[in-house]
Amino acid sequence: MTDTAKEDLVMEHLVTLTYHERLTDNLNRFADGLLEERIIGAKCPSCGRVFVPSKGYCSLCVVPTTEADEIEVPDTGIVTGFTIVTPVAYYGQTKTEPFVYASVRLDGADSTIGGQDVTGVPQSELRAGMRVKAKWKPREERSVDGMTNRGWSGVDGVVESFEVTGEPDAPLDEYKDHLF
Amino acid sequence: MEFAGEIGQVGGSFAPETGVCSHSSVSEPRITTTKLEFPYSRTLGPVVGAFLAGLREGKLLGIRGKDGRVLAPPLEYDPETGESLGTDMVAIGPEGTVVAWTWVDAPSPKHPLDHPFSFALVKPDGADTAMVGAVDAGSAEAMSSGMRVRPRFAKEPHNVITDLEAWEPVA
Repeated sequence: MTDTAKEDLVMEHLVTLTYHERLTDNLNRFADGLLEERIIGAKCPSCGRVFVPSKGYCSLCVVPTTEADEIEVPDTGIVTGFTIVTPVAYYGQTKTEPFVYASVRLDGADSTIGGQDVTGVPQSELRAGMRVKAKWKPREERSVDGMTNRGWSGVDGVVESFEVTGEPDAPLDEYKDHLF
Repeated sequence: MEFAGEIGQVGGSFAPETGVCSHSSVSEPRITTTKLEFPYSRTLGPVVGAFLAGLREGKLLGIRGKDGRVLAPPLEYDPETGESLGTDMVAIGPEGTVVAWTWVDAPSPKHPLDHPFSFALVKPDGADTAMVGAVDAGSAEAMSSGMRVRPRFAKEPHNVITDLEAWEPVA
């Protein structure tokens, strides 16, 4: 082997971090609800904003929310923003075709759920303000095993996508404060 | 999640993988598992590259330090002065001597061997420093400081240090 070949030697090094964690009580109740096709949020006792899922506190008023503050919200909402992602084949990327990454504000909620697929309309016709409804995975395929306390994988394990309903778009005023 | 033990009417169970206990009289906590992975491809350069290329051929290489000592595994810079050591590689081993050791009774999935083994400092013949490695000795009783070992190389090298799969006692 020549010196050049030695210098060209490459080591593949996979760093893996595996987390086992117990969900916080509020997220645990959120997970329980999802498996039953129920979406649970928490209403701040101070400002009345509804967070889905509950964080266990209102981050604006800095007051805790408890089980008593939790309410169910419908599985319908508005696309507040989106991007079409053209995937590059990095390690772990399973998508090969451009896909939708949308934020959805559920009716009655003040927070958005990010990273959702929107179906029922060609990507070129997708627009903010479209009304959508959750398309739930079959009961036997639902899983909340990927949920974390760090905000990842909210409804991904239970909702296939958000399907456009065909209703008239929501006016900008309804979601202009949630454009993220 | 799966529990390793049985959840009976009286007892609880312990999941070794998560280190979490549960008891049947309280609701079972929901434990979720997520994995983050970061794949790196690293070029190894003229010194570490030469060392790992040697392992592929069943050879051990050290490098000569500025004070004349032979360093194993080879370093790019002198540990005392910080000067570049170039590529002054020195053939060492392949046998060596255990300088110090500890016993691993319950290997984790990331350990180099899937059965009990020793992590040891092994000084290859001709080297002046010892390197960390696994000694596949069967039992702790077979281990001692000063014992002689020889390297076992991986059948399929991947340009990683575990291409030196383990050291074995010299009978």
